[in-house]
Amino acid sequence: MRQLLYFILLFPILAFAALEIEVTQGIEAKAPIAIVPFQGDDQVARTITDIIDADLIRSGEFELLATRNMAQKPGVPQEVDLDYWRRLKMDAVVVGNVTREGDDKYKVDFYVFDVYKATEDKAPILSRSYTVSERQLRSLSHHISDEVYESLTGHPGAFNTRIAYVNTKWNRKGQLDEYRLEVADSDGYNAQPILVSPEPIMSPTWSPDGREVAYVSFEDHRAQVFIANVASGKRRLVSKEPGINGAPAWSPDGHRLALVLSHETVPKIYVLDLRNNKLEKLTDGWSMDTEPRWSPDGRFLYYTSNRGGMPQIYRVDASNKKVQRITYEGDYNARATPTSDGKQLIMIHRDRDRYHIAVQDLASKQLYILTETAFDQSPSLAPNDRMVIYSTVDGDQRILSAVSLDGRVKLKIPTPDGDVQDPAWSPFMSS
Amino acid sequence: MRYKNSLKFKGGLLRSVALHALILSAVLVNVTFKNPEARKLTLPMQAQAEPFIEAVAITEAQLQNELDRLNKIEQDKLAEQRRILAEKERIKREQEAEKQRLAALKKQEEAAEKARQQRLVDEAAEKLRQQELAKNQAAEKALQQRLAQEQAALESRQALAAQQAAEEAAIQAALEAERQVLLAAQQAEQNAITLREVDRYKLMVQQAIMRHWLIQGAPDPNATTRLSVRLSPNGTVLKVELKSSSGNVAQDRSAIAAVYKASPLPVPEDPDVFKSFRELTLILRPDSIISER
Repeated sequence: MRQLLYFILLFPILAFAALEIEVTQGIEAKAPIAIVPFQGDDQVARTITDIIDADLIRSGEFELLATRNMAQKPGVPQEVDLDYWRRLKMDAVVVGNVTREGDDKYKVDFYVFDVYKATEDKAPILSRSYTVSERQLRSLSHHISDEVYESLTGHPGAFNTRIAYVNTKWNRKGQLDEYRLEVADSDGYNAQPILVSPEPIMSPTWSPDGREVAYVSFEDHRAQVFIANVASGKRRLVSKEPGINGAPAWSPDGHRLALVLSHETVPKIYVLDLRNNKLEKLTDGWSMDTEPRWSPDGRFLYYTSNRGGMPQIYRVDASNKKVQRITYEGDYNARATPTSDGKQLIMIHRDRDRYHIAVQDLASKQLYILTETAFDQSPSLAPNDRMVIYSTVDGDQRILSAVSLDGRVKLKIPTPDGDVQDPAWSPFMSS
Repeated sequence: MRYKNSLKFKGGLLRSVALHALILSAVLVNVTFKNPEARKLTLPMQAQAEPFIEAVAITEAQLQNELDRLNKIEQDKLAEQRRILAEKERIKREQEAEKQRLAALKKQEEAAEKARQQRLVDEAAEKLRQQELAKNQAAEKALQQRLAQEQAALESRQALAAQQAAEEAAIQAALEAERQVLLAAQQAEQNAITLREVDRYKLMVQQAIMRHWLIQGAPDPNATTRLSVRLSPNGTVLKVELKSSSGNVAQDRSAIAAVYKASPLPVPEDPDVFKSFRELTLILRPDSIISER
């Protein structure tokens, strides 16, 4: 009886403590958002909206509301009826408008509303205004995608970036026509050739400032390493040692270029100081070492070596040249690239004669296979670490594909006809 | 009271009878006085005729005698005349007195009669009054009696009621004691039910939010979003506040969106049970995700 009374007396206190409910499961689904067609100058507005739509769809993280299902098409914040978007269960709404301000001048305003966060103040979480020329509209559109993406995910977008790749062209008779080093927008559009050659071109790689691309060209029937300015197309030769000159990789500070050279013995990892052309050998021994990539802090270089018998990933300390083996899973791991936080490594992993893109957590050494395709090559990380672009086989053609770092999003990158290989994702563009 | 009035009434009656007797006797006495007076009047007239014839044939001495005698007769006659006059006077006075006395008597009689009449009227009035009084007294008495009866009835009823109340109180006390025990048991049971209900609805809320929690990318079981949620009694989400971020903007956003999208949340109808749901702390931590593909 007494216990009962205590219980009765205590119960209201218990009842008033805020109840805690734990939710430990969600649904794997894209975030539903609405990109309302930008209002204003029809052609330009449509172009901008289309690019943003495509970018956000390509990220694999958003489910876009079809335009035909929008009963409301606001162009300015005052027209945004949050209740309407809430009824449609949208997480966010993007609205914008375009004003022509002169011959070749467009003012573009846009606003991002978090439909639920805006419950109280009805204010957009982001509002920006830009004035650009017609030529800059594509780039601006990607930039808007980046800002929308970042406002909703907290991660910087990598839409306003570029990719470099090598396109092998064949003529109608199925004979080799030419090799083209091209640079395109991250969505594959706006492709520009940097070099067209009858001989193979390999391993393009971006300078940290995104202005230059280093590559290996077999013109003159020998391997040489060039650095080309993307905007001007001008190039300079940086390495033409006898034998292999391959796999260039820029140091994070942009002053040095790691290379694979075989002029002394077998292919080994070297570092060329671009300021004084001094060459330093980093790895020793009789194993084949290739595909160097710098750690984000510049202390280490990850590379592929067969020193253990089969290709595996190692890393060498750039200051004391000490070598450490990184991968142990499987009998083939190659072409490693560290993520920008230095915590993960993406690579090619062979699993039962199939070559996949894989990611390994450096702390746990746990390796995850990201792709199901069989002949995946040349993975390159987006600067925001969200996606990996790589080359794979589609039918009888090599194409570019991308996979999210969690393996959940996979998409093909539209590229021109031909075999497209060796993609390299640019860093963030400063301009 | 009534008895006393009746005595008064009897007294009045006696007095009335006595007065009547007195008046009657007075009338009779008057009649006896009249007869002797009539005889006296006859007597003087016989004596006057006889002495006048004898006085003529008598000597001097005789004459003297006669004269003396005549003188004497004259004297007597004069005296007689004076006496008769006096008598007449006296009778007249007496008559006058009698007349006056009769008038007075009559007046007296009238006054008496009037008084009697008045008394009769008074007596009738008095009687009436007495009757009225008696009637009133009777009515009063009846009223008093009735009141007394009612009072008695009331008192007896009150007594009964008091007794009943005492009995009732005793029963109630017993019942109350029993009820307290029962209530405690019920409360305990209710609390148990409430707890069960709370648990049940906790699960329902959890499931509702789960169904709306859309996660992009790989779930990070270390990313914990804490939200404070205010609900209306019908489960409508009134306010969601980010108490602590998971460090993942998209997760925090999707968690908040999930709560709003799940609105109205399933909440208990019982206001007592609902109390626990007015303010919720939601801990969203993606251990696993369900693939819809």
